[in-house]
Amino acid sequence: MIELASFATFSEHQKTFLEHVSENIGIAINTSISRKKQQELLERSQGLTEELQTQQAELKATNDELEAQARALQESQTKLKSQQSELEQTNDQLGEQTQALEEQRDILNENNAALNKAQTLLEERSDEVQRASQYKSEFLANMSHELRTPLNSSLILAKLLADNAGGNLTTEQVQYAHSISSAGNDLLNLINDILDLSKVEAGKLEIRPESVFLPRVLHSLERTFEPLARDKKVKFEIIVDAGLPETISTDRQRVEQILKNLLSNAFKFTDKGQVTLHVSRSSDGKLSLAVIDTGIGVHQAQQEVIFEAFRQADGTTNRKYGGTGLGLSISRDLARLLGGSVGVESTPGEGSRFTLLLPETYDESRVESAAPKAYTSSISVPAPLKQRVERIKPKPFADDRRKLASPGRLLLLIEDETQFSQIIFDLAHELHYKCVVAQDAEEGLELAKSLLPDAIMLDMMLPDHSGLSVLDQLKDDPTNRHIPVHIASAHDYMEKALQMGAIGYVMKPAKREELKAAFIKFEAKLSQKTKRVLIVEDDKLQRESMVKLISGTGIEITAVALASEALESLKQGTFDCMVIDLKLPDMSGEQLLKKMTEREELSSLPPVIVYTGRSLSRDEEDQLRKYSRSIIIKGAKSPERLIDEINLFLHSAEAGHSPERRKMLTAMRSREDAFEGRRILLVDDDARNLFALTAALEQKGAHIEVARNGKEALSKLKEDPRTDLVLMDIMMPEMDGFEATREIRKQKRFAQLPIIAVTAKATKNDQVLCMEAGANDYLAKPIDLHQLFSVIRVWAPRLGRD
Amino acid sequence: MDGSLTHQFAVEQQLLLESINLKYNYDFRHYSHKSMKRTLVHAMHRLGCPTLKALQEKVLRDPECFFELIQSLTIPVSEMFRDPTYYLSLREKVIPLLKTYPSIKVWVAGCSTGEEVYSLAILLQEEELLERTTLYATDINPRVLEKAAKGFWSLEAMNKFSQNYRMSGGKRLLSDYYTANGDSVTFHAALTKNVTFADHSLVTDAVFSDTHLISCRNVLIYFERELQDKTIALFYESLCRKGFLGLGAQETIQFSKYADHFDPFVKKDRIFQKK
Repeated sequence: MIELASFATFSEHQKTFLEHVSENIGIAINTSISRKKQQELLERSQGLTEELQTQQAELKATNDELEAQARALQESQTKLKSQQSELEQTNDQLGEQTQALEEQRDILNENNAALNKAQTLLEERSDEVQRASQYKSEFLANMSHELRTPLNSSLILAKLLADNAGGNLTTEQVQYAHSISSAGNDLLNLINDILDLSKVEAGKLEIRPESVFLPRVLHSLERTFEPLARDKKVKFEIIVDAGLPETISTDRQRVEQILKNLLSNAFKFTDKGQVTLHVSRSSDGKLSLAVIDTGIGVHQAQQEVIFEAFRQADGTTNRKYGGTGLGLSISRDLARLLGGSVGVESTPGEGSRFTLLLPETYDESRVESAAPKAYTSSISVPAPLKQRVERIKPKPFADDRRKLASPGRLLLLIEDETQFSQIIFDLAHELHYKCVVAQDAEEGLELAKSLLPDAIMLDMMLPDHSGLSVLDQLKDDPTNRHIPVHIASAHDYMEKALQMGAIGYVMKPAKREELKAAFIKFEAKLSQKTKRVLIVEDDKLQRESMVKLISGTGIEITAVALASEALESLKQGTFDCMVIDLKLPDMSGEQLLKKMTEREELSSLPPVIVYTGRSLSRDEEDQLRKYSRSIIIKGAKSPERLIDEINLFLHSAEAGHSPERRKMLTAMRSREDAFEGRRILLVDDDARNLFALTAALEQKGAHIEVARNGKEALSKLKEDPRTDLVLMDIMMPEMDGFEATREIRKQKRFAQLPIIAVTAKATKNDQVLCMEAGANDYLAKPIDLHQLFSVIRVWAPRLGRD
Repeated sequence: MDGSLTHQFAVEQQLLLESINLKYNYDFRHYSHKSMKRTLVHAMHRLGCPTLKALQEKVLRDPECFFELIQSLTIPVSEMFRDPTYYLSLREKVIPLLKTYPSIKVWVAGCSTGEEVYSLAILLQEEELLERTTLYATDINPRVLEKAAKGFWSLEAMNKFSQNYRMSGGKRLLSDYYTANGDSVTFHAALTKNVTFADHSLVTDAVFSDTHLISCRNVLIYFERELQDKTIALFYESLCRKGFLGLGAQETIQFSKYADHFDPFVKKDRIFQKK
């Protein structure tokens, strides 16, 4: 609204004008007002915008910061995640390990239980053994009696004959009768000893104490041994200390028996010097009767052994001095029964002192019983004779030969020592083998042929032939050749035996682990047979080191320098694996490989390992791969890999098998080489023997020289030192085989000369003596040609190998 | 989460992995359950999905989204010469044997962004074996393979890598093998001349043949036992006789079904030898 004032009245016209104008004015005023307002608003809004922009910038900065933090967080989260996973894994593993430990603990517990059980079993066993030993003693006691009766009658008859009452016998015949009589007497003594021993062991020996006047006992001993002393030119003296009682209470018969035993031993082992019986009082008040000699003495290690029944100081003693080896054992047992003891002190080479200690008065209550006396007459009733005879045959225990049908592998044990046999037998059972025991070489070979066992354990010292010859014959026979043979022996023929294809050698006495290891070897070898490897390498040193590297049991290696030789070898036999060098003088390895594949007569190609010093291009490698299964670049670790690869090829089933026939032919050819042109010296005093052996060996192409005794042998060797092998009889006039062998060995140039001893009776002692004299091996008479040939093959040096 | 929710999650997790297997042929079904769960929870947040079901829908519709997911499933955390003694053992014990072969195949399984591949390549180079070696580097995740092939790392990472390299018995300087440009480095292409990068799933793909060395480190820990066994079987088939298998520091085949198919070669560094 506009108020207008005027001194004049507004004309109508003016009024109309004003009315028209007023609207416009209003609008203009309005407009002006609103413009002003707008202006204000605009200013305000501009301010706000600015503010907003600042805030936005701030926000953005914060945001960036946050984003960066988020990224960092994410990264650490990722890391955490992987760590957590790792931790979880570790945790799981720990859990599993705990479980494994728990399982092991359980197993341990089980093992403990098993051990306890085994112990109980052992205790039972031990009782059984004791009982069995008792039975044995009873049996021996009975048996000895029954043997004595007929022996006595033949002794008497022999005596009658020797007396030649009718005067109708020749001197010679009388001599025979004397021989029968003296042999019978020896036998009777042995039986008496056995009887005594078994009586003591069976607790059947009765002690009858009486008052014994010592001087009388001593006098009787003096009388008995004086002639012997004179005979041997050994001084015999009895010294009695002063202050000793003249009378003691004991069993006179037994005391005399002990002293006689000790004295006769003393004389037996004393060749010069003196034997003294010294009676004194021991420090603990007992009566001491010491037999002192200046004889050969007893080694410390043997001092316990000599008191054991059937044993002597060493195996060689028996042959020289004779005797049953029971005397000391009986003496000790008797002394114990008398309440005393027998002890020994000795220095080898200087003499021995065996002392019998006796209480002055026999007191039954103080005697420890030698064996439990629980065995009453109820079990001593003699069984039927036939059965008892069977029991003393050398069949120490029942083996599994009647149980061949039962499951499990079969082990043939060729071994004459019962004790060791028992150990192996038990171990075999434990490892689920059946076990058959052969007690000599002949039986062993027979059983090997007829039973075809899975594995053979072989002793080297067998009563009839040497273990090496058995091994040779086993390996010679195509039906047995594949059977793994492990040696267990007290004698070291390891190198030879392993060369001949034994899979292992364990020295007696052997630990249980060692014996077990033998079985593990059996297991390992059972699926495989002798493998042949051909090595082609022109560098001699390399070749030899490779042969050394590869050689092992059951692997036969042929090493050649030229490709042409390799082809020749491949023609002659088949191989399970071949190792070639690429660089050969006559053709390259590649060419050789190519040639091999082209030759038709090479029926089966062995897997080839290329063993090369140079690196190969991809193309070369591809080319070689066509022929070769494996390529090895020589370097620090290459020997390891070579062995590994060879083993792989040798033991995998796919390795090429040779036609058996060809293999045998080549094998045989090489075997005959052992004789062709060989110079063998036969030493024997028996013309028939010489004749037969010469004929047999000459037929094989050997060149034979003969000598009739040791002396001749030595001079023959002097004439012809090129001799390849000596076959030496032991029992000869002039110079026997032992001495001759020793003499030969004294000469340095014959240190390696193979000497085979030929013994009349192959006892353990003979064998040991032969070996000690320096023989390499032995043969038992009568000589079996097979044995002879195989022993010669074993020992004749290989042609071209040395 | 209470019991029923946990169960619900497990069901949805299984459905998701099944569907990924069907749709993309990536089989994560036997990956370690627990670590998978963590990964998925994380991915749900990142990809803005309130439930696994929503994630499943998104992943099935959108391949891009799937590859996003893979990145977190295949955990690419690695270093060059990680656990230096492992490489030292390779150098001292394994390489001398590898040298006896005229040509060598090495497989790095689960190579991730390639740190291990380059480490091995450098090792083989220094032992003069790289020339006759063919190296296969495989991973399930194609994106990491791309990165691996480039040989590209931050300069910053080189500190740690160099330290590891020295401890692993390295004969030179690690910097001899790369060129720095700005704050990143590029490893020389010569190292990867004989390397083949390949997309390969240990779960679904087939074996390589006659490989002399397989290095597969910190992969098995993400697998369930059954899948571990399967993978080790795959390695066994791929190795030549007496070939070597190297695993991560927390991994072993001792408890796997195939434990007796291998001999421990360097036990502490988890190197095994095929029997």
